[in-house]
Amino acid sequence: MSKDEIHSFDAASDDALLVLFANGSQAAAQELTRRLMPRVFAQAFHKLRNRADAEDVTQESFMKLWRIAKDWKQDQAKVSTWLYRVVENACIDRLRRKHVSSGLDDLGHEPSDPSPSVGEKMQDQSRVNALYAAIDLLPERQAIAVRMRHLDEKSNIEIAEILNLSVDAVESLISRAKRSLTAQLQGHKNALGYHDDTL
Amino acid sequence: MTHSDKHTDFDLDAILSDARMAVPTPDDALFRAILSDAQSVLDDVMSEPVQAAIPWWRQLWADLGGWPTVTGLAAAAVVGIWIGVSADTLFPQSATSFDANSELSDPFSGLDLAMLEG
Repeated sequence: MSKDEIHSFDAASDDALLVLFANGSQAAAQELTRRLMPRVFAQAFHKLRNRADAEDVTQESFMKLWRIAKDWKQDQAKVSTWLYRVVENACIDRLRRKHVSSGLDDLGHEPSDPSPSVGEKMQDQSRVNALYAAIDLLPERQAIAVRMRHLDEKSNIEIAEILNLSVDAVESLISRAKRSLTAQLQGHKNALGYHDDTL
Repeated sequence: MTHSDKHTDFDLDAILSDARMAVPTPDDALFRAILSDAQSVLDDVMSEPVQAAIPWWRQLWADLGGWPTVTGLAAAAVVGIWIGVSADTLFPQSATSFDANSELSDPFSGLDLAMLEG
């Protein structure tokens, strides 16, 4: 990719880059991947909690994006929004296939991705695992909303667009979800390394 | 403050923040694989035969059957006009003879229409 291309792509929207890709620009694909891949991978990882699965879903989702590029209409949903839905569905399909089940009783299990869990980080990791397990116990829309807001760092406006809800409804969903998460995690405070006198 | 010290008090936002940071960095191999997929899709698209946009009138022309159909229609139209224009020359007796014999060809000649009323 030349310097000029990089500068011109910096200002280009995701939509415009996808159209450029459909017209044969590999450099546009490179820029789109650079922009979107970290978020897509993080979303898949938060949902699947497994690096290999998250990588597979990321690659599959981008493949779908490349294939739809020639039929992409710029007035439809934003590329990032479209991709978010694709990743979400791909994760759900994968989880169904694998029959993954987890619960708060599994707090002591090893994290599925071993890289961050050494030494003193074990306790933090078990809290994170507990958080994931607690999110799994939420009603589906609350789980999706809280994940999008606090793990995938989407704005409430983006979440509203993805879930076809009003921003107020999204705020309400997230608020209820956080109350439920707090209640669930406080019920396991000892397993999570909190002492009674600190609560 | 160590990573664990901040959890001396229960803090949901801190755990959420830890979960955000617990995501491993995607591999360069993944980046390359995605770009390789993109290239293969581009290659597929490029290898498809290019269909030039056809103007509407050429599409209509093709739908009608092209030259054979249109020449046939034109020939039929010319013959029709020619017959119309030269009818008196071609069939000089036809109009009068029809008038003269019209009574003979009356399909109701033997039927009393009055009987059908009421």
